[in-house]
Amino acid sequence: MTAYIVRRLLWAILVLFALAIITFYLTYVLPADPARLVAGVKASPEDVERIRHALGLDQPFFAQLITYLGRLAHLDFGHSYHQDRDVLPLILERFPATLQLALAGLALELVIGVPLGLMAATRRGTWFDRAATATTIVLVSAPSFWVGYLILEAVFQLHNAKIDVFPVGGTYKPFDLRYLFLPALTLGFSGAAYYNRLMRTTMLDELHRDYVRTARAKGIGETRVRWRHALRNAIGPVMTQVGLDLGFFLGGVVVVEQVFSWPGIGKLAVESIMTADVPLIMGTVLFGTLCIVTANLFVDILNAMLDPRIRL
Amino acid sequence: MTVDVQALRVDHEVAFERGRPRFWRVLRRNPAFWIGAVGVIVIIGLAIFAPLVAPYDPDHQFRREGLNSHGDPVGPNAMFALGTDHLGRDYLSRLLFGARTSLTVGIGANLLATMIGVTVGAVAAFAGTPRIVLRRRGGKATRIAIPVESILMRITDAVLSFPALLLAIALVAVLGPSLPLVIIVIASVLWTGIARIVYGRVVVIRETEFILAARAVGVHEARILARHVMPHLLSIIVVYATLGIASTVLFEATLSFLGVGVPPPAASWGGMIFEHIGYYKSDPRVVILPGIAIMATILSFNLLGDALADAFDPHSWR
Repeated sequence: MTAYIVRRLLWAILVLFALAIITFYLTYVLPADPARLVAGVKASPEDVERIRHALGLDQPFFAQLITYLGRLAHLDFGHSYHQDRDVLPLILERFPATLQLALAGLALELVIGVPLGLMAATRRGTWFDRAATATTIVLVSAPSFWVGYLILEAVFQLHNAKIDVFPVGGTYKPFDLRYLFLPALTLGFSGAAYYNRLMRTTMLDELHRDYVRTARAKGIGETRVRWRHALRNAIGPVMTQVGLDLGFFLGGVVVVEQVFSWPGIGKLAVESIMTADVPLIMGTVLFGTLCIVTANLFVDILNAMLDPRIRL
Repeated sequence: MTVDVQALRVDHEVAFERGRPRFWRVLRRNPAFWIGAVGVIVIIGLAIFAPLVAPYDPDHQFRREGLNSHGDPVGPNAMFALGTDHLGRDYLSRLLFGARTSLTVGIGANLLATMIGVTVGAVAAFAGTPRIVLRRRGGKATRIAIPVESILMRITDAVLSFPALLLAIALVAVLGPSLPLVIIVIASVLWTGIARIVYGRVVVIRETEFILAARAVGVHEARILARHVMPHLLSIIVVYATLGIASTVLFEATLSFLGVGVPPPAASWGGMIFEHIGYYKSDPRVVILPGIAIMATILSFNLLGDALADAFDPHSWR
């Protein structure tokens, strides 16, 4: 087990290392001149040269790369051109907003998707199954940024009709459920459809296996066969997906944050693009990778603990 | 001479069963297939014939007729069936030309991703860990094992743990948006899915007897891969390429919505939503219509892909 964890850990570090090199290469080939961006349009050529030297941009490629990786090893993600602050604190102060949106969205996905998938699987071929499958494929096909605006429009109409269930505009407050619900719902609806499909497929796979037939043949009640025998095996792929989704969301729920002006990491990433703030763009990409790699690591270790076959 | 109609009918059925075993039989009974196929054909048709179907040039700005006294877009009227956009351009024409952008990116990026994915997956599974024999002059041979399989699949895993959307945004933002770049960027983050699926399938195929038989009679490895393995991959490639177009169209729409997709003045559905967010409250049409176009396209490809998957897979539970 320890050997497995060590192997996975080394692999995670390698992936981060590879992405760090890619992001660095991108800043290096960038057509815009960072020194000029920092110096401003009115700076003299001498000033630009001085800043270029101060930032180490006149060094050869590999020298710059080593310096960059060395800084990353000390958790120094660089300095934002536009906001004139270090990148890491900028990202970290947005993290709580993203965290609560990610957790709430994921919870909604599971609460809606998993029971529906189980019901569809155990009622295969019935009208319920058909309706659930049809709804699912429509929901999976709807772009979440568009659905977000439809929801906003609905709230706006409610507001005009003097029904104020959800706030229209106003400032975001941390951990205020009234603000959190709609973004979480937008995030959750397509994911719920996805989990519904995944749960249905894996559950049906398990229900057609030999051990289920054996259990039934031994005279075990159908309820017990389904919920004690089949479900325990079917839930594995869903757990894996939850881990991956969480990692993915924690790196910034780009689209939903943008639609609802949610002050999270995803919105920060989009802002950094609008202002061509390269260190901040790269910082958010690296942070996103860090979240995904860490989540993958936990999921793998958890799976290995639950299923001895994986450790081999 | 009388024709035995009954015998002909039976003959026909036998031929039908043999020629196209159960594929067509399952497919044509599936309503999802018909909805999806018709949708896909209509959208592709509209994209191809956009210049003939569209009432106006999508880039022409009707500054007098197309904008009201406040300079805002006008709603549907006799001249503009679906109204105009914020620059007074005909919305219907822009939606039709938007189909071109969506499908160019959708099909282009997906084709590229499929080619990379199939090559990586198939080569990784089929090559395994080949030993290359190096002969020195002295005559002694050294063997070097090259773990092609693990190298390729580890790379796939690594790309899979990149934050695809963030990375794509960063790439486009840094290198400057353009149609070819959007296609390449989407392909370079989306090829991993099909690589894994193809890998999984080829790992099973490589252990079968007919591959062993081909090797035994001395068929070259590359030829085995091309002539004996590839035909078995056709079904999954078709299915995942179809479903892949749906995800690629969504990806392009998302990039354009965030302002880093296909650059203006080209019409792109995601971009049309991005441009009109400010007008949304007064005139929801400008946001709702492109959304419907995106959803209809994605839904059609999803339905078609799902139906194909069902028809190809005899053990399908769906």
